[in-house]
Amino acid sequence: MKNILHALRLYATPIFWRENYTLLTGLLWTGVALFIAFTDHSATHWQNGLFKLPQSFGTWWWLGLQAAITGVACQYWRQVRSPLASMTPGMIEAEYGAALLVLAAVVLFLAVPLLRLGAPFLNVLAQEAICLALGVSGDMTGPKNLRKPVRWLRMFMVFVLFVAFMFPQAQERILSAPWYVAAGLLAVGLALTVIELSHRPQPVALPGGDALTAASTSYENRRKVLQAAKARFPASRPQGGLAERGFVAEGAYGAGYGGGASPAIQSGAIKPSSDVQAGSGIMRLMQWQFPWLRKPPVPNTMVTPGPAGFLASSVVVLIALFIMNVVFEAFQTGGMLHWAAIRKSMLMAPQMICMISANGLASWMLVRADWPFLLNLAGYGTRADFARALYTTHAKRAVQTAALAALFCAPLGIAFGAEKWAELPLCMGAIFSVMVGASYLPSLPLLFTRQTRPGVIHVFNLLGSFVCVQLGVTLLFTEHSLPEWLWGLLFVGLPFSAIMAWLAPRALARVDWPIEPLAAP
Amino acid sequence: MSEPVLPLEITHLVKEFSTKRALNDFNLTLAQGEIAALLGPNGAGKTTLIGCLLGFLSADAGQIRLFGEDVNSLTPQVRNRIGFVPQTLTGFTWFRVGELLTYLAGYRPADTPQDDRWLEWAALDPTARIKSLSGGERQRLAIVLALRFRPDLIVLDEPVASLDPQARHDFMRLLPEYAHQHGATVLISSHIISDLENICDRFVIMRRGQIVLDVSEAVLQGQVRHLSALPRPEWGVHVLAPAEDGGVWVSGWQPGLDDAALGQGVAVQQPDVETLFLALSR
Repeated sequence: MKNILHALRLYATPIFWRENYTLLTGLLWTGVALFIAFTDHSATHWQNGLFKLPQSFGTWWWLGLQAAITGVACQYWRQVRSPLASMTPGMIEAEYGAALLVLAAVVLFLAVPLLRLGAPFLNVLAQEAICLALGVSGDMTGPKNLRKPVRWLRMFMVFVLFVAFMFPQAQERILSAPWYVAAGLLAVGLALTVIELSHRPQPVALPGGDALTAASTSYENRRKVLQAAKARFPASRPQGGLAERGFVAEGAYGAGYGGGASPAIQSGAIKPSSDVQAGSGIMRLMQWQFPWLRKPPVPNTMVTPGPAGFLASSVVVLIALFIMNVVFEAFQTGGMLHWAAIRKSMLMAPQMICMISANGLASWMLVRADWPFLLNLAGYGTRADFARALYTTHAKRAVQTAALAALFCAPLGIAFGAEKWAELPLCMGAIFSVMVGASYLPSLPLLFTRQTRPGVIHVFNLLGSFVCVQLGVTLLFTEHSLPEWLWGLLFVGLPFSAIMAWLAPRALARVDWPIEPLAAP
Repeated sequence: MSEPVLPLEITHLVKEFSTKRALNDFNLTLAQGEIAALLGPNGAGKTTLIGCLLGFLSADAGQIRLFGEDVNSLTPQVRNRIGFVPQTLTGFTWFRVGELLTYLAGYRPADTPQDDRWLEWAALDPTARIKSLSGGERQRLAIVLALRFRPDLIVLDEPVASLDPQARHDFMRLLPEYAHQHGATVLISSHIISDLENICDRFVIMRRGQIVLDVSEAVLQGQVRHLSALPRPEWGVHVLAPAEDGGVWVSGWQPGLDDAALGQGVAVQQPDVETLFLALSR
């Protein structure tokens, strides 16, 4: 018990919050869920034996709970995976006990908004137990030890359940279930949680293991960078190949900005990647990219889906949401489908597609391990040149993704929502503006400080994608007509982007780039 | 009278990775107070051996006993007697130096004796974030974490590779001083052989998962020689390996053979570990 208290103390210190970005996300979403719950004044949420959640509460509450649980699980796994933990008697057991206690506290705290709305306690706990089982399985050490098919099946099931419970309809079924069903789900969820956390991972950083990981990572990076650098010199670039026609397997080609490559690169001794030839025809079609985005300066994080890839993933989201909505509707009405209700629920589709697309746009700012290496070896010239190369590519990515999202989502929103078709161009413009603007939000902290912590960038990225984009798209297709000032607000994204596109590259060149380890444990 | 419990006993250890046998019928015993160097070229199996003997990797066959207990069922008391210095300290970047020292100390019994010389040697700023430490500073922290609670068996895997010359020199002076003072057993793997020559009283050279030479410092100096030509059969010595200069390395040398060799025109040289290691690891 003494050891558990010792481990538990960490959760009350900044140590718990450092490098644990999901917690920030959880805080944000939980705040929204609490706000909705405590500003709700409905007399009852029970309708025909079904507990109905207030509009949009379920998604925020679920995301907040999931993020909080993942944050605690992250703290647990990162503590116990170190060889130091194995070498310290009692530490793993203590961390285990502490994680269980904190998870219990999180579960009880996040039950409050649902209890405030009048949901039965046992059912709330059942719902949370499912979330627990999904959230604590986020560690990759355990699954890595499993056979590949089992690992894939497990990942698939976790993903499907996670998405399914983002739907209020799914949560409402659990919250309305008879007590014995809730008790059963609670028992299963808790058992899975305990089993998952009891798993004793082999230390990730085995002696030499780290070096192996770093070597493989750096080899991979080196290979890509050499390809990137080579691609920047027309004389040594493979001519007429798939890459020239836009079929890019990994997108690992550098952008053509000033400076000169190292002699080794210029010698032209590097052979073109065989990866360019790899993949089936469909895969190549999915990976097809416009010429302006075929050579991202940061290969790992700036690879952007091409139009076919974007369309395919959006259609998958659309179909998946449709199937889920139909299933939930059928459950709720005993097989009688109400298309009007399904259509209304499908408004989630444009929101989700825009949100997911926007979220990936600034992720390159969070992974900076490659930057010093690229700056030195890939011939970008000065830091300013490299920063400009990054932001030029960012602008192209943002414009292309936002344009595709606007083209795809605005008609969807109008079809499922309350807007008129005459407002299609305006809606497309608003989506485009919000998405491009949101993609520049994570660059904002660069203007004010020389040392930008990844956590701050992460929060601004979430603010852009989950708050601005999701809220913007939700408001756009709401049943109520938008006031003019709100239309204006949606279009603020464009001037903001223009200003940021001008200021951010200089700011990025000025700030410190932390030399982060290639393989974090 | 019962026999003293050995700090480390490895018998018939086998460890395989899919297609490669990293350790092949490996046997090693260390007595209390011994300072043994574990040498071998890259891929010889040193790190795998260390992983197995600390319980990070599970062996496919054989047994490892630490202070008489099987490595797979070590009691906390025995685990507390082992200190491990990895090649690099990984993880815990979300801690400050002082926070980590305090946190890990919290798992030790309150009356655990401490050796403050390591904290003094490391001279780390307790308020510094581990994330911001240089490679050498991290390594100094790893050494402090492993050694400050006075372990009886110390396993070091390339401990000085990232240390600056002064820190390395001081560490190589402090380590044997500590071991002699507390009777601790040390197994140290390093590629900087000149450092090991000064502090180790035993040399274990590995190649392809097996020991190719296991000699004490005394035997090495007394019985291992470099000969400029092949020895005569009647000298009764064992050829260890051919030398790079056309000569050979032999073991089982006796002082009386010096004159016989001289009479045959064979030059005899005292060994230095580095050239012997190079010959054996080819």
